[in-house]
Amino acid sequence: MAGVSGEGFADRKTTSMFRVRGPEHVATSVDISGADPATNIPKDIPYQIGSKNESVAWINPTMTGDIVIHEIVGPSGNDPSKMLDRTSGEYFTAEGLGRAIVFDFDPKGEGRRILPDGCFFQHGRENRFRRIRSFSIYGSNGTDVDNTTSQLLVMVDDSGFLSEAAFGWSEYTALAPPSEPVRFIEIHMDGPNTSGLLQIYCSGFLVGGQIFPGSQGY
Amino acid sequence: MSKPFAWFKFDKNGAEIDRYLPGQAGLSANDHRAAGRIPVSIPRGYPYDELISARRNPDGRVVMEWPAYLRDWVRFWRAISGEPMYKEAIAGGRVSPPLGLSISLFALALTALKTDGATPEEFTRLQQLWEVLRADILAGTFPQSAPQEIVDRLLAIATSLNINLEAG
Repeated sequence: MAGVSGEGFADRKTTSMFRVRGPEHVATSVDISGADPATNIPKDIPYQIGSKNESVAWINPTMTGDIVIHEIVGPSGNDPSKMLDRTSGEYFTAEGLGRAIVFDFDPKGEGRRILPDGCFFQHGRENRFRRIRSFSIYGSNGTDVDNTTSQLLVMVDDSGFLSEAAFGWSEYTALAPPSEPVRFIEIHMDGPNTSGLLQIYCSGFLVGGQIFPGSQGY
Repeated sequence: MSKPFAWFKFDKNGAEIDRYLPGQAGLSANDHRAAGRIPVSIPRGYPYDELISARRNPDGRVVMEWPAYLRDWVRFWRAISGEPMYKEAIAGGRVSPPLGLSISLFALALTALKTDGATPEEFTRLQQLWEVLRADILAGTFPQSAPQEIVDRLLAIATSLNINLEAG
């Protein structure tokens, strides 16, 4: 896929995500609604995007390229791989309305799809400032991240969306299931964060729902 | 505690046409989408069946209207706690027993609101205690600020968070 290396996406940064765990080639339903990622990330989740300060065994996502993060709209903030960095963990987009993070679950064209029904979001700072508060989450399909057809999964406008703890998590946020499994999940900023800045700070994102593994497993 | 979503439909001016609250059965996500509804998350601490109305602003954001007792009390508590004029009133309360008492009771009422979910009764109590606190502030003398300035400042903070302290 062209977007993985950044080719044709001069205003974007991308990074690989980690390989997921679970039985190969079998669709899996994962219910994360009862999880408390602030204290214990569930060990059976197939996709754990970002994992600061957690001790769950994982495979370095930058080595597999099975999931890719894109930052879209204008020049990027810092390196999206920061989102996966278990030491620093701080990832943020550059400033601008409409800034978005896009998770590509199938950058290699192996047919991997997800039918999400809920998520957790983790703040990207060691203090309560700049927490995301007004945004929309979309599920989308398309040939690449530039050409997608999206369905709105949820809109959020809530200054208390994230806890005020260092790298605090949201509560479980239910998502309206898309009409078909999707390749991309997009998080679009609709308004400023709690500090009035048009930036998304994010160091983790958990997705639950049904996972379709594609030809090469999860 | 999880954050559910409700389905809303808005007209071209952003006015709410209809809504389906969490748990209201009968329609699938596809049915809602086909009908032009969008899923909107219910903010933490806001009982969805207390929702008064919702509207969609020209920028696309959906704003919900809730009863007066459902507000961001934690944020209000933090805002006034860090306000120098409020601290000045607290300092005045150390030498004025009536003011000291009214500040303490006001703080207790606010603590009740921001803990374990607000109730209409707790909000009414806060409004009553604000009347007492306001009178005691206006009767006091403070080294840096005029009493009316302190009252106006606290009201401005409340207004900025869509909180109506006045019992009306």
